[in-house]
Amino acid sequence: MNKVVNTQTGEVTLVKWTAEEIAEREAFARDVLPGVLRKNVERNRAAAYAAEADPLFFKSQRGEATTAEWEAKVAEIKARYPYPDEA
Amino acid sequence: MALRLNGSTSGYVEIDAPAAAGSNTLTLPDGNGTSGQYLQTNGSGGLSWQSASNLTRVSSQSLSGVGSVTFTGIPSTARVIYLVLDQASADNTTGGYLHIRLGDSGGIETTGYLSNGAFINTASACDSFGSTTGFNLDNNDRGNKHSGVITIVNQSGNVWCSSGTTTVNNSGFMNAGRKELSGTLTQVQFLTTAGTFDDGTASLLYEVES
Repeated sequence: MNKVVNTQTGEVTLVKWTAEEIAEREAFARDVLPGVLRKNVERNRAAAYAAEADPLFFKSQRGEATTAEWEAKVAEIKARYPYPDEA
Repeated sequence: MALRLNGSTSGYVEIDAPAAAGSNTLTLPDGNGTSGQYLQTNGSGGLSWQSASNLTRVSSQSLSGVGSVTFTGIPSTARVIYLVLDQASADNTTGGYLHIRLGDSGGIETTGYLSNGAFINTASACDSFGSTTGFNLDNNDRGNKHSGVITIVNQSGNVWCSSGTTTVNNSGFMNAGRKELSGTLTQVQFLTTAGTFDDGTASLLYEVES
């Protein structure tokens, strides 16, 4: 639904999508949205790696944590933010 | 030579001509104008009351439940347009683009935009995104509540350039763009390319060239 506001009269009307607009939105959902959603997962994973997994990695380098703990955190983050085709 | 008008009890008001006055006539407007107006000349001696601002504000529009808001009837003399967003967000399940599109009497144009945007958040994560289908504010709006202003300025003819910044709770977004319309701008649209808006308002203001 599209809200149309006439700036001269102040009249507000609700207008249904045109066939062209519906086709454009369907094409977006089919062709673009999967990539958008995948990128969203990549962003979330990157932020979680930096905040949660990377410190464990450096601790493991110093012998303050195990490699297994770091790998478990990475796996947990991947499970928390699955790609759309993995969910 | 001056025209002096004496006050009824004391003092006077005087209207004076320059020493070398030439032959000139200034014609006052009828009426008193409205509060804050000033006298403007038309260059031929005609004076009229004018408002100091050429800014027109269109009432704020709720976005909830619609996929786009289109502001129509923008006058051909508009040269600067401001789109003001307050907590504008699309629903948090779709991840669509937030677009601003321009249109003329032939309708909203959906191609031919040069647009890039970027964001950086408080965790120093950043991303950039381009689009040819609209001035792109966000390429993955999943509940981002955008507040800010996008300014769209007529460069010349039917060429319009935009720039803007918005903020969400933990990120800053910036964007800029260019679009040449096929005709005179008459409408501006704010839309999400997937789903609907679920919160916020959009306001439009424009300045005309007098």
